[in-house]
Amino acid sequence: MNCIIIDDEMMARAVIAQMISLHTKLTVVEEFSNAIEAIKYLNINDVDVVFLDIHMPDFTGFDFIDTIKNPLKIVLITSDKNYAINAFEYDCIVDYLVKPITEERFERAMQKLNWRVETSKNNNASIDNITSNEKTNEFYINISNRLIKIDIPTITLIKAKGDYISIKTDTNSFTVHTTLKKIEAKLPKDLFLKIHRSYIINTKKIIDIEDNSVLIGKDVIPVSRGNKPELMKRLNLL
Amino acid sequence: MEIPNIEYINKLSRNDEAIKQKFIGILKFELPIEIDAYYVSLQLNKWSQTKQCVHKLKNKIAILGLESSYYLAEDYEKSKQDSRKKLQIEFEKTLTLMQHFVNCL
Repeated sequence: MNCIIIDDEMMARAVIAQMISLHTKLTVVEEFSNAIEAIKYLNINDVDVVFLDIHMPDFTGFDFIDTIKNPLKIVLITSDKNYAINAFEYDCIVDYLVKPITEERFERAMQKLNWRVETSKNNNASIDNITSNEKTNEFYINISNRLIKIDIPTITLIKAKGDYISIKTDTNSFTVHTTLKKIEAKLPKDLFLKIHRSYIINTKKIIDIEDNSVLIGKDVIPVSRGNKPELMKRLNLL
Repeated sequence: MEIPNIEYINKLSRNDEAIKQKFIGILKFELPIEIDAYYVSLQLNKWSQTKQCVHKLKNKIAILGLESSYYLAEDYEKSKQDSRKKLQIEFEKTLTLMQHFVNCL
């Protein structure tokens, strides 16, 4: 697996790089002093893990997370313990390290990372149990050894819930052990849109939009700032 | 007053002299830049910018083993204007101490 380090402080980058070399098999492919450069890099390169400083001028670590399209595994680094609460809102965040990072704490974070990687592999196996047929607009989910057919157009929204996703249709609701990213790949792009890091919606099921939320059925779904322009583009506005 | 040390760097470099010197080189390069940035923003009376400089310097303070100074920097970073001056004086003493120590490495 490879990784990048994003921190505006050279010393912090050097410390992280050294800990990575001492305690992991990760390869540091690049280091960045600002998040914008890292985003440009990620647009054309595949990276497995990001060591990310939160407190950076102009463009913070959280701005970075909100901007990247593909959820990576992120280890947050900061001198400020108060950001920990925000960190729990993001599924992609593996752990939260407070500077100065001790090797013991770093090792614990890497154990968590390994656990997440293993879980993802299992998720991949689990998603293989979802077989889709784009021509007939349906896929099957495996629930307790029963393959249940889901008609894609009947899906109203999909919500990430930790290691699971909740699929809501017009008539039912299912919980499946997989990730939003995996299910997103099975859905027609013209019908579905990720409007928040935890939500994919069927744009045809929108009832109304108010400020930064969308009403679908009885569910009010938040819209991320970064995803709103794409949502607005999809609407047939008068 | 606390005395700076490079125990953290020594431990992290596993007695590899090249790695240790790399860390020391970074300290020598980056610390004066961060201290300058602090004084410039302070002179310009830009507290939010000054606060960011203090925040950034906290990692160097910790790396040099200055535990109480780290907490002092934290208090200074969060300080209100009326209680700031005393913390500022102590914080700047720490900066001088660190700079002198790093110069001698």
